Amino acid sequence: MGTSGKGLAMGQYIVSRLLGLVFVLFVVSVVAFLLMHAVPGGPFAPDERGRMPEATRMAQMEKYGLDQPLHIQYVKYMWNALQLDFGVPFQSPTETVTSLIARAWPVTLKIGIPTIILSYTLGTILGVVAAMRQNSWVDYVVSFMATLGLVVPNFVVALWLILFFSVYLGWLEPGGWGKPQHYIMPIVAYSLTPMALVARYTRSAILEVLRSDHVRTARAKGLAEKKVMLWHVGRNAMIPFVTILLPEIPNILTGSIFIEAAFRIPGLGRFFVTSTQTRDYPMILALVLLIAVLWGVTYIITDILYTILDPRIRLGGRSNS
Amino acid sequence: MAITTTSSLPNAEARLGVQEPRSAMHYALRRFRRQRLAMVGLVIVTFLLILGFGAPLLAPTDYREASLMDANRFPGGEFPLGTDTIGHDFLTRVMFGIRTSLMVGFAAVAVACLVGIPLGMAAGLRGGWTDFAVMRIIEIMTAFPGLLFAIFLVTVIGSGIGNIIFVIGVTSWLTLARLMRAQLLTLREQDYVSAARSMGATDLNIAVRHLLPNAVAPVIVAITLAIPTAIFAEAGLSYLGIGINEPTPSLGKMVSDSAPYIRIYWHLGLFPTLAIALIMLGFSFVGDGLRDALDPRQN
Amino acid sequence: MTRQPALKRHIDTMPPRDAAFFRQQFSRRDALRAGSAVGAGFAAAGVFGALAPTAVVGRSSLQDGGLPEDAAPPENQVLRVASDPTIARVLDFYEQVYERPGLADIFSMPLVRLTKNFEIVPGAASEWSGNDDGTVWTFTLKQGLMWSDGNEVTANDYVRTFQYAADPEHAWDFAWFWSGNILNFTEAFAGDVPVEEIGVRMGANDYEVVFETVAPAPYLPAKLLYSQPLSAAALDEYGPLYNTNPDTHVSSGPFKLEEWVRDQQIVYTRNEAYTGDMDVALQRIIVKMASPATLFTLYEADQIDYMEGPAPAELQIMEADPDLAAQLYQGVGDFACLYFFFDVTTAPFDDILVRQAFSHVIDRDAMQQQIWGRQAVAAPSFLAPGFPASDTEGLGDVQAFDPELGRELLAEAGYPDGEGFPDLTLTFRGGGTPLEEATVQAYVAMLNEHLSINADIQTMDRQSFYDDMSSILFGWVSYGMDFFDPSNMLGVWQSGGRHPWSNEEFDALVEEGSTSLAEADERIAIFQNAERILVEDVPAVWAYFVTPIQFVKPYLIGPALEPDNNDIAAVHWPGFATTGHALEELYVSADAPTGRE
Repeated sequence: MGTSGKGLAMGQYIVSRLLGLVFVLFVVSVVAFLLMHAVPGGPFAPDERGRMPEATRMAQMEKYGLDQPLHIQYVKYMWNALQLDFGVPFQSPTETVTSLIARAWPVTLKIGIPTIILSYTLGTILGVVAAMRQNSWVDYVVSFMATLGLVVPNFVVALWLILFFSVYLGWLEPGGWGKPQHYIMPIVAYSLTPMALVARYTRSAILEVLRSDHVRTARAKGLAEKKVMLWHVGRNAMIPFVTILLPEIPNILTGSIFIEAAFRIPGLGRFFVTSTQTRDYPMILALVLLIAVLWGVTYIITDILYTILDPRIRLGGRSNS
Repeated sequence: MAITTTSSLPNAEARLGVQEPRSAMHYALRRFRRQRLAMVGLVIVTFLLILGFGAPLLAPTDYREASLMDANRFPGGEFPLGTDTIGHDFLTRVMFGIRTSLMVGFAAVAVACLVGIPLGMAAGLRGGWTDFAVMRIIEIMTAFPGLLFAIFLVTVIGSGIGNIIFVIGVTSWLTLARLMRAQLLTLREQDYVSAARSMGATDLNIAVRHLLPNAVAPVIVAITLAIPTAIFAEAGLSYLGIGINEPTPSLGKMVSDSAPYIRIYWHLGLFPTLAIALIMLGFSFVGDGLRDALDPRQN
Repeated sequence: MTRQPALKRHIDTMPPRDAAFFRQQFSRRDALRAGSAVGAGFAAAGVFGALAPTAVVGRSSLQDGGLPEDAAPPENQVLRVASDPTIARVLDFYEQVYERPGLADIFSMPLVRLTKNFEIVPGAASEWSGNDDGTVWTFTLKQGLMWSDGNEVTANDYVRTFQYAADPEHAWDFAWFWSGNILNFTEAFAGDVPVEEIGVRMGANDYEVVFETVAPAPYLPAKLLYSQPLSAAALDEYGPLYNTNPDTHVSSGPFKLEEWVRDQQIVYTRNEAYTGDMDVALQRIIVKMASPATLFTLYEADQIDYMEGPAPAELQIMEADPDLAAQLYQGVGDFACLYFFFDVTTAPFDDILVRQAFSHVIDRDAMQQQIWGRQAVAAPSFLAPGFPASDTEGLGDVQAFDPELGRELLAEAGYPDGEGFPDLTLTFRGGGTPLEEATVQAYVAMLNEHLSINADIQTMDRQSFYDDMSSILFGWVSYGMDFFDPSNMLGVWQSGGRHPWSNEEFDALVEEGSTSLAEADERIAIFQNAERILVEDVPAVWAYFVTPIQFVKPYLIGPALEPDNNDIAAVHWPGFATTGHALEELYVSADAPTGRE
């Protein structure tokens, strides 16, 4: 197949996947919508005396457009959403959902992106080192620490970091936003788990490939050791990397409620929890769609990368017999 | 923001776990034994199983028992791990907490298997519309934020151990289904399958007698690794306050409850965290060992 | 409109029985000891004798225009506090009550204000009077109080604010407060009459606000602590959310909104257009958004100057160090009572024997020692010590700790040793403090130990909890006062409220006490009889009264932190709002660190 043919197939593939994504978005929005209305309560503040009269409750429902049949509400919402109008969040009536996400998400990203860079680079290095020295003490230490990173919850790490660097040493402010130092502890705390994950999978991927046929063949051909390493190992080791580790990225980019609360970061993380509790329908729907888009795009990229990396895999999912 | 780590790649899981069919179990076991970390993991897991499921017999007290006047004691003497803020013996709490975690882990993964494996098999074997439908369901569920979904479910059906098992199981079956499907996609092209078909064997027959035994290895690995993931998910939910109900001990809830006291009563945070860590370590090592052992290309 | 013959506020010329009522000084002599404060609930103190603002008791010693000698210069008169970002939605009481940040309500003056000793003194109103039967109240506003947009504060602002409160489209979360109290409020809120018809209107001129009530309301002035108006002009031009944005913000209080960076901080600075009589030394207030769990580290790292509600271990750390212990203040807060409640209409709690059994196995002494420490006091009844009509000593025996008796009662009810008792779930209201969590878990352990009853604790999020509270079989909740009268607290338990308990005698007594113009002692006695019925019928097992702990940096000084008439030293309820005097009675000392932000 010539390159232009391959390019065309790729183009078609991307288009079909994007269409699939649109379909997924639609279904996800319906599911979210139905789920939200299955939960009792409404966006009104809870009345501690329990005396909100029925008439007032009705007036409130009307005000938020919640008195209409579900399908009408849904259609209205989606119609607006298509014009990128996601309504006003009940939690913060002075801004729109779009502007809230526009102010909160970049903050999360400013923590998330450095976290990804740090954890993935360090993690890869650790994983390579461990693989090349398999079953040595280096390997054990890295494996052990990697699993440890996966095992200690990040809110515990955050707590200890604050206690140590803020309270005892007084080097850093315990949290907040606006100064360069505010990045340090959150990124460190947030990076430990992905770093551990990356180290583990890098190590096992490299180990696996080192023993595979490709490499044996390449060695047999007498290629220089280094070339063998970089070319074949690298390319095929990327595969599980792409499989497991690329989807970690949307996870990180949507923020951790624990990290953001512990370090007082005004990001998007807390809204995932508070929106459900306050029945903030516009916010929930927007968040759900945001995540669906993130994941969907990640998968498409993953699959495309995959075909580039391993020539045995073809687009379309047919097995290679 | 999924609460469990999932792998993607609808079209290429083939690479993840494909191998030639093998039945030389004892070679696999031998390789397993040679992995030191795996053996350590096995020891840890055994220890935890004894500690956890033996808790009703081995623990010093019943987990509901508390003596308020003995609250907040540090480890030592009458209370080997100290007491918590209510006066429960902490060793008892941790042991029963391990039990809860193991129960949730096993049960949630069992639910995930019950849902995921048949679906994956059906999708892989049948192909066509079954495959299409299953894959779309998986895609949609993956795109949905796991944490949000869990909170919804808990708000509707309430918290508690049964409900949590259900919630975690229902959000974890995706990986297993995909894995199963990937296995079958490759295996079904094998000659002996077409041979069996030509002899008139039904799909179900083929699935059970020929494919399942050979597909099982990577699935076992995945299950072993799914258990700690489920346990971690439960810990997270309990930390948010929507997990296991007190007074049933939950390691995640214990970590969460320890936060206001941790500046002085360090034992309240340390031991549950260690317990979670041990569980994760043990199962991860075993899972890794299994994966390395069942890979025929190891020398 | 002609002036009604009035009960003047001048004590000397008042008929004795009414004078006694208006001399209410809500004393909390035994607030922190287990004694009763019944007789101490009221004392004659001539508080209301003065009319002129300068003679108001409890007024700050800070002179107009000048700072005390030991005060820091104006650029360092900065106060930094923290607030939970999830409740920081709006800044005005009359927009929404339950979702305002910790420091709000400083943009206008209520009609009446509260001193450190819980005395009602003039606020925006210089005087007030009620008619013979206490159903019409006329408040005269001080003239010359200006909004920052150049308009004067007039009766119209107050009238419009109350109308907005009654507007069903607004669905104000505190509407119950005036329902059944102000004429037509309930009907307007339900949409049956237009809001213009509620019993709040302009009087003879722009400076007179007249309130009409459904029934005699002797406590109306006290309730009008909650009367901070919105600006009618701003309501018309920008709508009710005008205070959430510095560009449309209007203030008639000592502070204005400088900036509000969502989820990060709110900054208030002095309002140069302020023409009122509050003497405030503070120049700048910063409210930092932080979740409650992070408050202590902020305080330790000198990022905030004041915090309330530390975790138990944090309190211990402060208590252990003599320097830090001096920064500790213990108050009474809003006399909140935390309690377990039953659905008395459903088995097994429809049997009073079962409820009584439950009430005898709570070991409050152990909880005091091991859990509550200084943050709470045991509650044998509903009204906290120091609150009018409170009778913790007199009612102390009713729900006393007696596990033997509890077992007997349970057996008598048909569940010997807990046999046959259905599986129980205790519904815990989400977002509780560590004290609440520990208390609830300890009680469940006690139920297990003494009654052999197993209960599971299920946490329910606040929305769902309050939505359907009357159908919760066994739950945990709190209530703190909204204004200083037993009719407020006891009103929670009247029929048709949030609990399904219903007792005719209780209802009648509360009704009688609420509308009575009798001597203070008589009213107290009526309410005490009501409380006795409440405590004895055990629709709830009382756990504790909150005595909130505050940490205040040593460079924040002033009369606010000195002991009040009952030897209680703390920044009193309602904290830093214009309703109270804390803003005037607190300032930064000269030795405070500079550059605080």
